[in-house]
Amino acid sequence: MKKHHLRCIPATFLALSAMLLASTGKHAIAAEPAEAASISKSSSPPRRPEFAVYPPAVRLDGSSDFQSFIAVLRRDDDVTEDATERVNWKIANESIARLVDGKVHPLTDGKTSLVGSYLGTTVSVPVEVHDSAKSPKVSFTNDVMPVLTRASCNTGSCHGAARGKDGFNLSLFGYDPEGDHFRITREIGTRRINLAVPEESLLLRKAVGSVPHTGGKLFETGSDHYKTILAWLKDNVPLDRQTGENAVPTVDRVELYPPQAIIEGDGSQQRMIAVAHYSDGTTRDIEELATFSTNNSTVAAVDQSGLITAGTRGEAFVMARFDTHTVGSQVLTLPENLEYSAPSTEPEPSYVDELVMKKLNQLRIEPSPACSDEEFIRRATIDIAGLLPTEEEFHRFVHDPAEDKRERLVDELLSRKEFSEIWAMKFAQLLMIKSSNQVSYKSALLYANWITDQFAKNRPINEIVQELLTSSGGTFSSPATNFYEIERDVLKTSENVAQVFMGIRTQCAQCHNHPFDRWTMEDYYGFASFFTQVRRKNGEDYREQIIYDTRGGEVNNPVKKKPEPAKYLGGDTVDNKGDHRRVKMAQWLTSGDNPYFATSLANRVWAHFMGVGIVEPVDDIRVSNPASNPELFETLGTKLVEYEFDFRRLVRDICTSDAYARSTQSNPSNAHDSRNYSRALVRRIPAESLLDCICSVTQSPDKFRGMPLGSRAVQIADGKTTNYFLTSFGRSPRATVCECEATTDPSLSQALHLLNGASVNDKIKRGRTLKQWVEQEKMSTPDVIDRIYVRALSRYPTDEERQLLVDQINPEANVVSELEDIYWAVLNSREFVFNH
Amino acid sequence: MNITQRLTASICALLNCLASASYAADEKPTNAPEKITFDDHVKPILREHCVFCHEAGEKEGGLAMDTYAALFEGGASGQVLNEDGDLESSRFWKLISHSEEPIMPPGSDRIPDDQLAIVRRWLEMGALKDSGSKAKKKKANALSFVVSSGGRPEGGGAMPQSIPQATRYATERPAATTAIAASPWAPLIAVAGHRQIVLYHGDTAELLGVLPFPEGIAQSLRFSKDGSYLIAGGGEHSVLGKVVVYDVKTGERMATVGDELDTVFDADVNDRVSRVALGGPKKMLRIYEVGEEAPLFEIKKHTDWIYTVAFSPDGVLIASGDRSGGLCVWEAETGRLYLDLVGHKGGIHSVAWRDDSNVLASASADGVVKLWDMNSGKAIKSINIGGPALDVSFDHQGRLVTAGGDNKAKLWKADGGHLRDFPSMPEDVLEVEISHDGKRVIYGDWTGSVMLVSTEGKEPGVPLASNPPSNEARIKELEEKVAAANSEFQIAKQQQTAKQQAANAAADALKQHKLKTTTAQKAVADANASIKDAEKSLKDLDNGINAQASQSRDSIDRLIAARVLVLESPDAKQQKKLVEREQQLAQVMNQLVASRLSKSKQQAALVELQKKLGETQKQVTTLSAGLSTFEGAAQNAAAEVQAAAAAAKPVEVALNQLKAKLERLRKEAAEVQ
Repeated sequence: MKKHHLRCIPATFLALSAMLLASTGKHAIAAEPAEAASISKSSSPPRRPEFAVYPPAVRLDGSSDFQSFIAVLRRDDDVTEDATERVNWKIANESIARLVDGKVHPLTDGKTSLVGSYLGTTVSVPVEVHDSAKSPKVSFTNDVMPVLTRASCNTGSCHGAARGKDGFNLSLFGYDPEGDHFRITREIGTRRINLAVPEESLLLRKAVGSVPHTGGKLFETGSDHYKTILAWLKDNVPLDRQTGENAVPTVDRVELYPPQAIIEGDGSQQRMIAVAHYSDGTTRDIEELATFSTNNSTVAAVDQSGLITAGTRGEAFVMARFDTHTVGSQVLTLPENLEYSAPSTEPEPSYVDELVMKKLNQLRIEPSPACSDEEFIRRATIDIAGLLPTEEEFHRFVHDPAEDKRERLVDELLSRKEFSEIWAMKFAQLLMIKSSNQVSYKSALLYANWITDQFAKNRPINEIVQELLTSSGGTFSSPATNFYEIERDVLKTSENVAQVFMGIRTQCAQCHNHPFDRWTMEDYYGFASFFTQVRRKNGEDYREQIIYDTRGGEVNNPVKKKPEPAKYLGGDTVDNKGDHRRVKMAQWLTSGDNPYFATSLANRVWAHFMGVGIVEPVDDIRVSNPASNPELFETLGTKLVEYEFDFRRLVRDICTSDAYARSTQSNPSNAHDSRNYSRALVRRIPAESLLDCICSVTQSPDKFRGMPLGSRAVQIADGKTTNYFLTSFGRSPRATVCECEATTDPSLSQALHLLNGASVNDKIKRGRTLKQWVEQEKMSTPDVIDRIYVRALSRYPTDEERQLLVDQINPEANVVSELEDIYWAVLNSREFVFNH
Repeated sequence: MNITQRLTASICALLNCLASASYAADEKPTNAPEKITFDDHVKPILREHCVFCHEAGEKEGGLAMDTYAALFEGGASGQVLNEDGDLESSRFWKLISHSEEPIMPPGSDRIPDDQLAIVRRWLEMGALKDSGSKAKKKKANALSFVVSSGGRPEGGGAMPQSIPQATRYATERPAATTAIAASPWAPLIAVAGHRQIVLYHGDTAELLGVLPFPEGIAQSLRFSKDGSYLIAGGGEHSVLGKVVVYDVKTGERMATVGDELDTVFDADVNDRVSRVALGGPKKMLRIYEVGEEAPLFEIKKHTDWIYTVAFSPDGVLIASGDRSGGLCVWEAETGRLYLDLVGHKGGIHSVAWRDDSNVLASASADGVVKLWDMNSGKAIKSINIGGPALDVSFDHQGRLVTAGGDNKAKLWKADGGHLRDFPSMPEDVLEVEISHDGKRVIYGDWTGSVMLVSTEGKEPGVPLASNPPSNEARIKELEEKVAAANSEFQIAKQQQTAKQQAANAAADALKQHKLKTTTAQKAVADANASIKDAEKSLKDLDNGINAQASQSRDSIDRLIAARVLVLESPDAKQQKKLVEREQQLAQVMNQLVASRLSKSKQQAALVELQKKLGETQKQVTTLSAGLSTFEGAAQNAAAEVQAAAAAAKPVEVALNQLKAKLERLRKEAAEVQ
């Protein structure tokens, strides 16, 4: 066991890490690295501060364009401060642009720079002014639509609802500008707009609340938003060209600055700047148009001008949504005057520990110490093999003096077939392997056996998925084809592929652009078009279906009302002409370059062992549900690719890390943390493994349909086969591909079942282990109690526990029966049911 | 319509049906072509082109075409064929003939023409199943319509007499056209504008009046059945809805009905102008007794915004349509549901009644105008107008005009046949009306421009503005017109004066000429008289000469006698007597010579006189001949004067009218202000 020594970290390290952080962001940095590095914390103030100016470049197009900016000061201890007000700002060439109310406004075309200086440090960002003489017309798509979105006219609870609100319908979050233009101007040409007297247009009057409006007042008469819409009305409500020449520029990306903020103190504030970049190279300050939100408003609240106010200690993700883009920045809130010094790490920490610790240091969280060997062997055995360590394994491990015994244990566990069975089962859940009216029992069995076989052979996961997705032939002769038999709907299939293999939920985009992610309806239907070629016909056996491909055919996009060409999710459109689009899709999906496949898979693996995914839920990876440790998230994916998708090696990395081997005991700094792996999480053992554990400790196996006595619950092939225990302990019903199907939530029926049900008491009686120990092996009562503890809890009882239990035994009564009661009590303890 | 009328109508329909049936029966035996049947002819064609997708298993769009029964059962969107094989309303035919989207078979060429012809003939022959089948009777033609002149008031429909013409609210551009109405009996058109209703002459497009509508914007305008009242429904969106009844002659607000919380989309009065029905975004159909504050009936049946409400011309029924395609007909007297007309797949934008109240037309966003028979409650015709149908209207001959989202207003025959497209508008045509005489249509589009176009479609249309210019601008324009008219009048007047002068000159000349002639004539007369005198004096002279000659002869004789006597008795006495006698002779001779001298003189004078007479007479002849010229010239000039005066008159009248108009507008504008 390793000891962590707490000691002061040299200031150079801090400065270096600050530099590291700073240089990763795309922003201007004031001080030269050498200079910054040379400054130590001990040097006497004032020292030259280090601050960054956002946005890193300003571009202004047209006379009415403007750009706000912020300066973010990064202290030695990594805490950031909004220094915009403290910095002295000026424009290098004042004939080109000028500063008004903290914004850059254009004067004449040309290039200059915005210069900020503060206590001797000067930062300048380039400013470019184009078309300063032109005042662009109001564009419906790029000016009016954002106002509607910002004013939340088109949210799901308002006019964005599928059937609209109070007779007026807009596309949810504006996915269909042309449709919205029609609905505003033409659907009832005489109601919503009045071109004779634009000010009296109902659209405006409702928005400013001068007539009764269910949605209330959204902006003021005369506000910028009002002016935008009025200008558009006065211009006779033109619609921009969506395609072809002179098409309206589209938003390429949105940037939110600063990319990370570490705020100190309750009530401290940080302004965010959001900039949209358009396809024609122009940019726009969208502070007034983007919608700001936070995923944790008690930690960091954000208002609609992008101003963050820090709250209680913790971590939040602040997002800005504009157009179809959602971007976010991580905000860490720390209490003021927190005394913290980073714990020391091993000289050469594994990449896992390095990245976990990096985050913990930012959060000023001190990790829990390493767990005991007893805890480790139980945890690892349950996680890796789905079993409890046997007494023999336990003793061997605990008494092993070797330095690398944990690594060896992990290796040994990984080589067992139980490991692959767990993962086969997990995939069987995700693939919904289950007999039904449509899928025969035989198909389900063959399918489950196939997937188990793949894992047993330790076939790289990308190859398995590729075979699965490209499979064709009979559902008996080529069991992987059952993938297309269990879910026959094209749209559902594509949704499932995205969710299972990329952790992306695209469902929203079936009807509208994803409100909190980048997925548009084009993406959705484009991806679905990969699966339209799949056809089925009857095999010789009436239970068998034959899956084959036809040529051509795409899914209709209901907004465009035309077929959507096959398009990789977040990637390019593919050439339609070729056959077997599925093959192309599978190659793309499982390639190492795919940004989603390896990371989402690695995240699933990580979540299995750590109790919580870096992105959680593991199958809902999206911009607005960010990774708690993005670097770790990416690195795990990269490693999986590096390991050629042999995820045993990844598991090994995880299970041999310090992060995995932490104690579940919390300390004051990490008590509230559950997402940063500062301590081990206590987890209920999954239903199947729990039943297997009970069966093995009591030596009283269960019998499942179609399987020999002694088979373990993990091995059950058909999702339909279950028993009361499994069902009440939250076994996955395999009805959807959601990871959430298998639950470990406690329930009263679970507690009652353990107490009174057949699973524990009967098994203890039936297993006769105690009888054997007492009657044949003539073990003493304390020894039996020790053995019960080792078997069930992988530890010896404490002296106190032992004494208490010994005292419970009535010497008059039948010792075996008394001990059985103790055994029952132990198996009913929370310690047994949980992996800790 | 009373019961007998309704009965007669249905009997008529029945007779029609019998007639057509017997006609069909008559025709059959004489002309018996080969029976085209589904089994023998059509099925192979469908098998070749359609059945691959439309078979019982695949059933694309819910439609199977592999059996006769399945084909007639229709698909997910309803029947594709009528039992009687009516081509016009067959979706099946429209899609395979590529006259409507989605074309079938999809993405490929049309079925070859010869095969298509077979299908067509099969349909026309009644869509028979096999050689044993008999064609079903064609449906009775409920579209037969007898033109009635009923309802026309004595002396034609009312026209505005004292409605102020001042603009109430001037806007730079119009809003989308919300409502247009055409009087059923007079050339009068009402167009809704911002807070006002503008009345125009239906033939001249002259602005006849501006009715204030301070409630907001009229979303609906309808004339009462006799054309005496204008009913405006509207208000302010999301705030207020009212219905106002105006007297067409005076513009007086006869009644204000309703108090909606949102605007009124449509309203109508019954034939006696005693009840008002209205509907709007609040989804309630409310029927008021005019003059009452509380509604008589509040009908909650529509599930979406009520777009249109109309009383039947006989006042018996009310039709109402809503935004989600609900179309109901109510008994006006009781407020009870009479018919729930199901069939439209889009919102109902407009309903219209035919004059006889037997047929209701409904225009729907699904692109179809349906005609419904009120006796059977069935759709008797579906007209595909080629775009979302936004308005429909009947004329007295039962013809229809429609407004569509294809930017067009169209005219249709009473039986639904297409007659004419009117010139396209830049945007959706929202409103359309047809004039009382059926000679003009009025339609307005989304941009707010309203056109008055002849139904013959020959002359270019005239725009009718729903936003007349501001009074200042109109006064200025009128002033300019007055000035122009005035200068025109001045020119006319000058011309008239000039002509008058010319005429006077001509008259003078004539007078001169006449005077000359008279003078000459008098000269002739004088000459004649002189000649006469001369001749007389010559005669007298002759007589005198004769007498003197005889006297001289006597004197000679006496001298001779005296001489003789002297010779015989030359006494002094005798001598003396002789001398006496000689003296006497000399005297006589002298006298004679004098007379003779005088005569010759006189004769020369006479010749002179006669010569002069000839000359004068010649002069008279010339002058007489020239008189007609002068007379003509004078007449012409006089006529020209009259013409000029006549020409100046209308100019003057116009000028005076303009002046009066200007005066009126000035006065009314001042009043409005």
